[in-house]
Amino acid sequence: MLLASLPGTGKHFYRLVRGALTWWSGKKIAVIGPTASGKDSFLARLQNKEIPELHSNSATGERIKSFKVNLALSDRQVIDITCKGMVNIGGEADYRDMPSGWLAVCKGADVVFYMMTVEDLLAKRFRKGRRIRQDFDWLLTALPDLKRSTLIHILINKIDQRIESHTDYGALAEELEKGLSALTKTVKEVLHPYEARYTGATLISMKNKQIYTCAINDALRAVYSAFHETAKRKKKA
Amino acid sequence: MRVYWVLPNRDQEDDILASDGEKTIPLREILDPKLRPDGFAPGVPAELLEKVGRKALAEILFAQRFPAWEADRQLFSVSTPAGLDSSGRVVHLSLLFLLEPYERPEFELPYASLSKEDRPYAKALVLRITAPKGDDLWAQSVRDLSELRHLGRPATNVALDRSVVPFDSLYVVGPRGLVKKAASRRKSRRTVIVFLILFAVAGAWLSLRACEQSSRPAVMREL
Repeated sequence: MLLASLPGTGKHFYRLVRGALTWWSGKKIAVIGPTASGKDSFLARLQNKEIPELHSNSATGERIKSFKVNLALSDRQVIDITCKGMVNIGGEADYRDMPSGWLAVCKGADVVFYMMTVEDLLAKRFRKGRRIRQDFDWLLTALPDLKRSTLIHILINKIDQRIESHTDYGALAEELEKGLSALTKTVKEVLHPYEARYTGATLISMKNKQIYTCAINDALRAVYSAFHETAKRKKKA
Repeated sequence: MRVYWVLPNRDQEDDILASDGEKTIPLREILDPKLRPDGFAPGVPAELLEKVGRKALAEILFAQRFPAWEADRQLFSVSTPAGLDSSGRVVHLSLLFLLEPYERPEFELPYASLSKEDRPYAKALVLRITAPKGDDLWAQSVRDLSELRHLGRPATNVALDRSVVPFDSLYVVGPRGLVKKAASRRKSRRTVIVFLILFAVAGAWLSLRACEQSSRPAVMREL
């Protein structure tokens, strides 16, 4: 229930999956976010690798060669994503503001995944002056330098820790829902006039493989769905 | 010359902190992120950690030198792994030098004011680099980089494969650990020379045989 980010069943759902399958093929992604939000783990998961044993605070921008990601949307449908290089970079604000930092990572990407944690969400670190908000402000300044079609999706990591530490799941769901709607409101305000590029936020866990698989497929469908809606609106206009 | 410790981000803070040996300040106040040269990063690249492995992690010293960084001023840094942060990730401690064109780094900076956790790593870093020449090849590679006289473009003590920016480098990490590049180049040059000699000998032998065979029918005819 906590992970459902996209409603839809039956024919509509099937069309959505098929559309997402075609749309995601060959897309380039970039991963950014504050320190310890799970960027390296996400890259490992995308490559179907285990989270590396020797984990480091990524101090330098390192070029990671393009690699193919196969993501199963259903039993038979698999998406190929081309991940573009130079994704391994620190999350400290210093790396965000360096010329060879986040901007270099995001240039050329079709979809930018911004990673934060459930802790960031519930502590409302997206409020004015706080770290997540500063990152969104940075995104607004960076968007004109990115591809015109670049979409932004937020992944909220470490949901497993919250689930483990809670007994009252109803209260947790309510808390998360409130947090998510406040986050969405903030992002849309901050990113104006580019708010249409924001495709939503998905709760995820890099540690828990089962949650990861469900959540990443939700996220991929949500990105495609937002793209599809915008395209439809443009067509009508 | 201005020297600073760039401190390990053990608490996963948003800003990288630095110390001049007495007080702690955000690194961005010393070095504006927008003015930092491409490829500059206080810390050890993940690829070196992977190549060297967990057992020899403490041996790693990674140095970067940027000549003509700001006008003719230079930037020099040397980093070492400095334990783990609260999530168990490797964090780094660095010495950062802002140098005038004619200056060379002097690896001395008080570390008494650093935290209890950081002090042993700072002490070890200074001791290793200032120690008289010995078996510590990593320390030697840092000294070699700092003493290089003519440097056209940014350089590192050890070669990186995944770097975003191309660097000149003096050493490489191979299966047997750190090796001086010149030595490995000399070795490969020697191999090429041996191959060339072998080719020349084989060529001479084949042409001699060809001569012998072509002259034999003539002799037979004469007989």
